[in-house]
Parts: sequence; structure tokens; C-alpha cells
Amino acid sequence: MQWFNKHRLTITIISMVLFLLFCIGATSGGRDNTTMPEGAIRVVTSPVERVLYSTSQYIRNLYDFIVSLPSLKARNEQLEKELKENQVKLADYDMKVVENNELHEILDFTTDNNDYEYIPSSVISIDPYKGFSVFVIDKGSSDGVKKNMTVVLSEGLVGRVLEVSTGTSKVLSIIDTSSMFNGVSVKSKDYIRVTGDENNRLKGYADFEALINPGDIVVTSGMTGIFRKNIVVGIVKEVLTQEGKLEKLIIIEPSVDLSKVNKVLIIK
Amino acid sequence: MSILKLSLILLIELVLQSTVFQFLNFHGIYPDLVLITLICYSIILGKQYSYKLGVIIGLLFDIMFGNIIGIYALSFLVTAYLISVISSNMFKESLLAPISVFPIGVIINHSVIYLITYLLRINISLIEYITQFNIIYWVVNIITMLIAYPLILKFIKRYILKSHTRS
Repeated sequence: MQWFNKHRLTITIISMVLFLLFCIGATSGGRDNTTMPEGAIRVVTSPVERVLYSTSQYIRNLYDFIVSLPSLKARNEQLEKELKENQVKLADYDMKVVENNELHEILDFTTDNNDYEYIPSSVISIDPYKGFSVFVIDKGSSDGVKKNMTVVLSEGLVGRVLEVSTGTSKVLSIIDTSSMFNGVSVKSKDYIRVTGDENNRLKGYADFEALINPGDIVVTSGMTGIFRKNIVVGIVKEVLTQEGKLEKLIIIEPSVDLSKVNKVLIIK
Repeated sequence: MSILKLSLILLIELVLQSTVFQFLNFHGIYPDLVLITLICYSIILGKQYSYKLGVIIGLLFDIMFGNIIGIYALSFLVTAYLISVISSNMFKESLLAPISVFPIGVIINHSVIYLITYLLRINISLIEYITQFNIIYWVVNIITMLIAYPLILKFIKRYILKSHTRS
């Protein structure tokens, strides 16, 4: 007993370390739902976080706006020029759509149903060590969110639901290094394995024969089963051939600016 | 009771770090308040208390952000305990103690986090992990440490140690 009292601190610490190692082992495979106490903690902290998050983002946006004021005129002129160019393209596109529909009718072609049902939700906090790799949103199992649901924005893919508790859920964004999914290049129809990068960009790996060029758009292929089909992922920035490797390395710029995410949509 | 007060401060800092600091920062770098405060606690309170605070805030961290429960709890536990052992013979009133111990704390904390994620086969490049600790990180954090340490020392002396001696 005396021995125990003498070494109480050491014994407590060792048993705590063992307990935590057990926790790590038990939860490392990922979980569908969180336990009650965890849900309770999140319910308490999430309203505070939501207010702080949106206020600080508002302040940041205001600051960015003030800083960008001098360059706004030049940018406006550039955008007007682009708009004119795009109007010409749009007319061309409309013609193509009509033509395409006619051809579809002739071929009796069935298109994929892209009318998804969405759960709108807002971001309430971000992992302070990893940045936008993991963030928390304000909708949980009570709103019908389930694990592995696809999270998007109008611009494109954001990530997938990692873990659900009653009022909140965690989202693993596509820029996290542990996220991996299958994408496809729209132009060449080549498959690309897409994973996250530490520099908030995406890395992709494709076949050596793949005909992918910078500027190509990458969408989800729907093959891995987690993400729905045909959601825009990003634009190819660089295609690098690695020496001694049988795959091409592709740097993809995500279409969603994750550092400015505020509201997201979850596909039911 | 005092542990509750001290962990509440850590929780407030954690919430600030995950919301406000994500937008109001210096080129993406902001002071790691939770780690700074935990290191201050470890120096001032010693090994009897520090590890408990480490586990509490670590578990909260894991619950709020991590997908694996225990990584941050373990890293903060180890950091808090080792820091309080290292600094046990240091003069607590001087600013030399926190400044000399802070880099060790950062190294211990992030080594443990990296080691666990590596053992769990989560793919993180070591070089990219280390490059986040650049010169701006150290400057921002050490300045924050210099401001925070006297405040925390004052707070603990006035509210925590006093109530201990009274009871």
C-alpha cells in the first residue's frame, strides 16, 4: 500500500496513457455515430462557435473588401471583357444544347438524374491544427444527415460527412490527405485517383497513357460509391510525369475555395 | 473546482482558435493559445495538476475536431507532464522559464501527434509537417507566450493558489 501511495502519480499516468491508447485503437477505424457525452459537449459549444465563426468571417471579408478597393476598377474592366467573350460562347452553347437534345431524342438516350435533394447547413468551426481538412457543420442526425453523405457547394465538391452526432457533424474535406476518391477527366474520360495535399490543393494520379492537359475539368466518377457522379472537383493545373513511376501526377486546383466556405449543401 | 476554472479557460481558447483565429490571423499563422496556456499551467502548477488539464483539454479537442478519440489527449498529457517535470527546478517568476521550455513543449506535442498518426498509417509528409513551424510561427507564439505567462501567473496566484491555501 505504501508502495502504491509513493508511486500513485506514475501509476495514474501510465494507466491514463494505456486507456488513451485503447481509445485511439478503438476509434481509429472511424465511427458512424458519436456517444451521448460527446453529443452533449458539441450541443453546448456549437451555438457559441456558430456566432463567433460568422462574425469573424464577416470581419475578414470586410477587411478583404477594403484592401481590394483600389484594384476593383481594373478587375471590373477585366470581368466585363470576359463577360463579353462568354456571351458569345453562350450563344454557341445554346445552339449546341438544342442540337444535343435533338440527338438524344433520336438515340433514345437516358440521362442520369441530377436532381438531388439537399440539406443546407452552415460551418461552425474548423480544426485549429489541420485547417480546412476537417470542419464541423450545424446539422446532425436529427436533420437526417448520415455518414458518408456528399457535401457540395454550387461550385463543386467539398467533402463527405465523417461522423454524425445529434446536432452537429464533422466533414472531411477533399483536401485532407486521408481523403481519396475516384475522379474522371471530362475531356479525355481518363480516371484519376484524387487525394488531398498539404498545400490546400488536390493531387491526382492517372495512367501513364492518359491524355490529360492543364485546364481540363475533373468531375467525380461515382465509382468508389461514396461520392455521387458528375460533381465538379476542380481544374487541372499541372501534369507531371514522375521518373521511375508508372503514373502521372496531376495537380488539381479545387473549384471550391475552401478557405472561404461558410454555407454548404449535403446531398440526401 | 480550480481544475474546472482552468479547463474552462482552455476551452474558451480552443473555441476561439477554431473560429475567430481562422479568419483573423497573420498569413495563416496564429498563436497556438491552447498549447501556450497548457505549457504555462505546467510550469506554474507542477506535475500533480498539469497532466489532468492536458487530458481534459485534449479530450475536448478530440471530441470537437478529431475523428480519432485520444490523439490530442495523449499528446497534451505527455506534453504537460514532461514540461512540468523539466521545469520543476526553474524559477517561476522569471520569463526565462516559459521561453526556454516552450520550444521543447512544441516539439514534444507535435512529435507525439506525428508519431501516433504515423503509426495509424495516416499519410502525412514529414517535411510538410515541419514546414508549418516557420519563423513567423515561433515569433508569433513566443510573443504571445511573453504576454500570456505573467497574466496566467497572476490569475493562478490570485484565484487558484489562494483558494487552495484557504481550504
